[in-house]
Amino acid sequence: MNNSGFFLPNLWRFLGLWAVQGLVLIQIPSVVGYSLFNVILYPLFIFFLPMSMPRAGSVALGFLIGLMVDFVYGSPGIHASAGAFSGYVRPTVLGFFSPRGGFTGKELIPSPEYLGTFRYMQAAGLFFIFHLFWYFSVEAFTFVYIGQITMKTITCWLLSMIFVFFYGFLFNPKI
Amino acid sequence: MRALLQLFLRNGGFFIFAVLELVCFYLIVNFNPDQEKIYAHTATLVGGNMNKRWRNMIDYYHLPDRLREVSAENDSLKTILLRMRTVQVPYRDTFFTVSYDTLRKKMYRPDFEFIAAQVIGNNIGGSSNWITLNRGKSDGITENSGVVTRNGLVGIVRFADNNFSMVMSLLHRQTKISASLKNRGFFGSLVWDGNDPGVMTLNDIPKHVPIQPGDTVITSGYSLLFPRDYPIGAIESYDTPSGSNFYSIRVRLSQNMADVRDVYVVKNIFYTQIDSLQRRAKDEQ
Repeated sequence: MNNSGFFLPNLWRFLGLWAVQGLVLIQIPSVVGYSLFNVILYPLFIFFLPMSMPRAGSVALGFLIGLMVDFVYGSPGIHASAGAFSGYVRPTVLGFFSPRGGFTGKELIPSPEYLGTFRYMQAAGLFFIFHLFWYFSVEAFTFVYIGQITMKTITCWLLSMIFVFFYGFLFNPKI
Repeated sequence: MRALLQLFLRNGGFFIFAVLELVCFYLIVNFNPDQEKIYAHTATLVGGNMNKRWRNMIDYYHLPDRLREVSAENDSLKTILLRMRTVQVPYRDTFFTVSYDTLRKKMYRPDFEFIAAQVIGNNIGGSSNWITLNRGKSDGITENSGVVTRNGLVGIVRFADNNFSMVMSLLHRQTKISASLKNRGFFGSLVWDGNDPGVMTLNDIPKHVPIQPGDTVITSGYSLLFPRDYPIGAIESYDTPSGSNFYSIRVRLSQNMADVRDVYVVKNIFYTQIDSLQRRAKDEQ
């Protein structure tokens, strides 16, 4: 698969996840009336970037989608910071879940199609923990509230993982 | 050059990550009010403590000079005290001891309390300069108090934390001091034009008042920030803008703003009462 083949699917994923995050998921805490009920799904765009994408590319694209989400959330820099961080740790996280002997090169993106549902959930789970912990830490901007940061991370992670599972199950992206 | 390029290619991800995180940091502390407050608070604490340590180190080398200054101040205070004893009627205790108002037959107390502090940060290079003091609310300092040295005025406390205070220097574009000419009774506004850090401009003195270079400029006592007749400086030169009925007077400050170390925060004991009265009067209008 040449690089141009990745462009359109990733562009649609970018726009789709951004729209869902900015139009639907943003409403959940106010609809439920409980601020801990946060669902963050847009990092899936960073997670589903091509396996061959260099770290610099995933950092830049993570920053970009974060910035777009910040635009809707009215929090300039906070989601962008978490997005860039997720882009940076992504290759390391995927490295943890590579098969013995490493990836073969046939795995185009880290989706259930190539990793299997169980390893997909494990890898996405760890990836989301990193993203959410960084995000809530930057949002609090001080580790004085480490208890609240941890609580928010865990709650948001549990809720988001349900969506991550259904996204992988329903769409099972191949590129 | 090639080595540098290889280093970038090898660690490009990290460099981009670091640069983008710096961009995010800038965005976060400038466009998110909550995070901006936390950052400002932390910066004040950390900066204040670092300044304090640095200042302690510097002060150690200036101990002999400061000893001389304190001795001189002590002497002048003793002189004033001796002179005061001859005219004042002791009442209750030393602090509340004060003059007897012969016209109203009524005792009155001093309006101001002096709190000693040290300067741990001072800028004079910009057009809006600030001074950091090593005293804060826990030492009794309140916002909107004047700051003076024995030579003259220094500024106005604008923000006070528990342990530190930020003083809007005389060398700040927004500073405006009510000042008058000694023995003449006319008063005007003293402002800084942002140029010479040793000179301020006194406006609103009518041009029929006879003045000359060297005349002393003092506080008018009409603001709640400084006591009456406190020295500010001396007239250096003056002119009358065409079409204006008022002088524009250049005043050479008696306090060298580049060398401010030991200061007194002047706390107006009746600030709240007077301020609330003035507000009520304004609301009536």
